[in-house]
Amino acid sequence: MGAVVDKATNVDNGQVPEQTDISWAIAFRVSLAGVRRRFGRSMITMTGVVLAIAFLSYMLATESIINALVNLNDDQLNTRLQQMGINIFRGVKTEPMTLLLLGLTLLTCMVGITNSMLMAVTERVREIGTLKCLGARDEFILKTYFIESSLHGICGAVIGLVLGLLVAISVCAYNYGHQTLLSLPVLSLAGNLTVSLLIGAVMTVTASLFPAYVAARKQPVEALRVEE
Amino acid sequence: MSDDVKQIVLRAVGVKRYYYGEGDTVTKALDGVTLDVFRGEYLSIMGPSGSGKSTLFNMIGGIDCPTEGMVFIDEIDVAQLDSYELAWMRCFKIGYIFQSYNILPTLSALENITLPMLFAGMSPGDARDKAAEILKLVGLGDRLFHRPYELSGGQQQRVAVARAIANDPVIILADEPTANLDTKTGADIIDLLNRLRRERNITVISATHDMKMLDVSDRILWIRDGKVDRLEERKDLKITVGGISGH
Repeated sequence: MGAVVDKATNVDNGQVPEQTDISWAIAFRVSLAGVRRRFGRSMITMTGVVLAIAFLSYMLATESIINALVNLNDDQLNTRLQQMGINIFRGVKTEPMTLLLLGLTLLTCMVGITNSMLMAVTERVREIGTLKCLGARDEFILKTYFIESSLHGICGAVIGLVLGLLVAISVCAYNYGHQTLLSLPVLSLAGNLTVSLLIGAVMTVTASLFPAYVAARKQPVEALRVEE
Repeated sequence: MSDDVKQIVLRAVGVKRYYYGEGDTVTKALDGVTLDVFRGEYLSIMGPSGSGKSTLFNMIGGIDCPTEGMVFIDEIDVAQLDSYELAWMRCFKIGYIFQSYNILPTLSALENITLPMLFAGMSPGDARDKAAEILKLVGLGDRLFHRPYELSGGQQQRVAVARAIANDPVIILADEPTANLDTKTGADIIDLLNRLRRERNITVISATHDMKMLDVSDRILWIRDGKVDRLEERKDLKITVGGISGH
């Protein structure tokens, strides 16, 4: 009983204990448990990221590899490159049309993520309400959604960029022979991968901002609603 | 405890809740309810659906604010709290039990009970120990790591009860806690609530249609059309229950 009285005096002094120090760790555990339990759903959300980033990473990697081949200035290879319609004096540069296509792909993927996250919020209204009844603040809910989308973004981007890279290398190796594998531009490929990863993660988190906000604004009353 | 002067844990003064619809339509969900609830009391709220029972429940639970009137929980005026303080109050002062259990499906029984303690700022280790202890108390000592879908309805509700008392609240709010359970399991949950109330001197406020629940109540509040219809003591009610169940 004594403890109860202490707590009562606490709020009178306006001393509301801080939740922020530990709640990142808790939010992470809650999000991770959610992703693990709803793995199928997470996979669907992630597929969007995987495809978009695979496309991006494929474009970037192909460009790097072909430019590396052009720099080799090997006679046989040059003939083959010219047969494929590549200017061996300038190398390749992504065209505006391709860039537009890339942008559109990323945008479509973002809308897809937003959509599926919004659905996830609607599905979990009662869970969110329950969390709030247990004493969770808006920020906590925001954090769980932020972490969940970051996990989607990073995992999806990693899978996507590996996929894109593998396809790019295979296609180039098929077209230009073993020279491709011997002269892989490791540094510039690593740069491409970093760019893809960053774009993938930022894109996913940005796409999840609105759903996370919607989730955080849900009221604890929702927990009491009964729909069977 | 019973020798002491009764301590008020919850006071509602002239609570009104209006919902404004399109045009000039006003729905008076609650129309001036005044009520005192004492520490360690078992209060049941009865009323047909649409009577304002749930609305009153939400006001008491600090999850909705009255249009007019005041609600004090443990001498704190709910209307004056900002969202941080409301979250804090829900965390420390009130334990919620729901009709559909609302156990977080992604977490184990133990984690479900640990969560409110972590929100309260307890260290994870301490929280786990206390959660395990509480689960034993509600008779689920062997189900610590089970997930909600591996538990029966009655067991899930026990987890919910355990979660509700995790932060040693002043009030437990139970919204039709036995509605989804069979008679026997429902009775067990009621016994459990009643036992916890006595042992820990927690106030239990429950909305219910369950006659068994009325039997253990100290007082019963009947709500009709957003107003207090009548407030009965248990001793007056014994006769009614006896009449219904045919003893």
